[in-house]
Amino acid sequence: MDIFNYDFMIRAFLAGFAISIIAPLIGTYLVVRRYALMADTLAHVSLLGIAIGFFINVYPLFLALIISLFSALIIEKIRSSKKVPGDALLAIFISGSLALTIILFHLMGGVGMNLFAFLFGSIATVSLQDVYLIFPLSFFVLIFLSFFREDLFLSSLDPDIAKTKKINVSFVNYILVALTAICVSLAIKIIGALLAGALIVIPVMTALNFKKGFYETRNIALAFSFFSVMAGLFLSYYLNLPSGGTIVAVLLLFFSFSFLK
Amino acid sequence: MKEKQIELKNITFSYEKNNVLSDITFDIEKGDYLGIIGPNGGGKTTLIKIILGLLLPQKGEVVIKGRCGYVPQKAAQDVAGFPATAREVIESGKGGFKKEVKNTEEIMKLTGTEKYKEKLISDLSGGERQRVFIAQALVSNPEILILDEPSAGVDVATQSDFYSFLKKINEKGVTIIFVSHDINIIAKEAKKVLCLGGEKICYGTPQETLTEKNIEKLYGREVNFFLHRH
Repeated sequence: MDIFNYDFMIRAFLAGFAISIIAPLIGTYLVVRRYALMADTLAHVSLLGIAIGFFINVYPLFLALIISLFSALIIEKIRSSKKVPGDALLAIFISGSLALTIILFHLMGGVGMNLFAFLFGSIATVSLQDVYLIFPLSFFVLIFLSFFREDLFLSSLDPDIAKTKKINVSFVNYILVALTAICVSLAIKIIGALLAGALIVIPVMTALNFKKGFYETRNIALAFSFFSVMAGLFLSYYLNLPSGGTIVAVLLLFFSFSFLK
Repeated sequence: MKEKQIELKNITFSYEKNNVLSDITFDIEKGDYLGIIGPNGGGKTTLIKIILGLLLPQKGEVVIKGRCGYVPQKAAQDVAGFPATAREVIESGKGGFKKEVKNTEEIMKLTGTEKYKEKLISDLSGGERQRVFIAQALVSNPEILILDEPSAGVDVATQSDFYSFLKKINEKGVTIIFVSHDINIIAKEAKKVLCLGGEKICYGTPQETLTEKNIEKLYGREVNFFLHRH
């Protein structure tokens, strides 16, 4: 297949593979907690990190990761204080980070193709440096998810029960939002900031239609995510379409078919 | 004299300026079967959350000897969208008590949940779900089981089965504390009663506590109920 003769496609497949595994694993916990919008919010915040990266000439993906992680912890801190409605807080972060991103891109001489690639994803933009960042961090996310698996499950099911079982629910929540921040920052290059939330949420929503237990739902979501990303990247290359939009279109196709089940 | 399992001394709690509990003092002995009754806003759920360590009182002290298992009010009702089988929920009850846990199969047999262990909790009836959450609480081998409105939303026949089942657990030595709005259930099932209306109105056996005078003080009006002789 000529698709694998190109280094940029191999890099896109490697990055896509890693992201397609971690996104639905995190997404399962976010969706059952009704916290799916967190992924979208952090994706927008990551975009701000990218813009700052370009502005001060520092590796953008690294800054996206740092800004997103920092914001995730702040959002969780404010949310857990219950002083501000959770959805309104996310809305403020979404619009605020998007506004600052636009200003920074404007100051850099206009909104160009760079921003477009980060908004909607582009397979041509995945660098070797990105792959070197995405792989170890995805592995790190997997280790954390595996280590905190039972604590994440019980604190998602009922935080009060979890607390009586000696689980530090607040710490577990911080871990979850931090892992979400890492995941969406890494996903931006492939799927784009505006669509990263879809990779976290749609495979889980598809799997939920199969009406299985928690861990089976998670595994089904993982399968849909993997096949959608791979199919999306193939289609994106052969049909010359943006990778993010193509992956999400495949995800939506699977989601629609899942209702027929 | 029985061993004290829980001691509450001068517990006072308020949500910001709203005082919910004032100077509550009482002891719960090992093997007790305590029903807590009171009007809405009387502090029943707040009190059990204080016992469980989920809320910290502004004043007073709680001494607990033994592990607590908790079945919250919404546990059986609020899980419609949660994709989990009964077995997954029960096994999650091990929590941070890995060393002390009981065999999950044994607990499922005791609670009668084994016949629907692979079913989704959203597909179970209210009574079945309630048993699943009790099984989840029992997996960590607690000496005390605390239930908030355990039979809310459950039909009368299921209620009767449910309380016979709780009695069976109590006979195995587990101290039971449950909150209910239903004075007839408290009168029929509990061996001890705490009447809570922001303060301790009365505490003792149903015969001692559920008097017309106490109930009128608790609710501010006359209430009809049947007092069963144990």
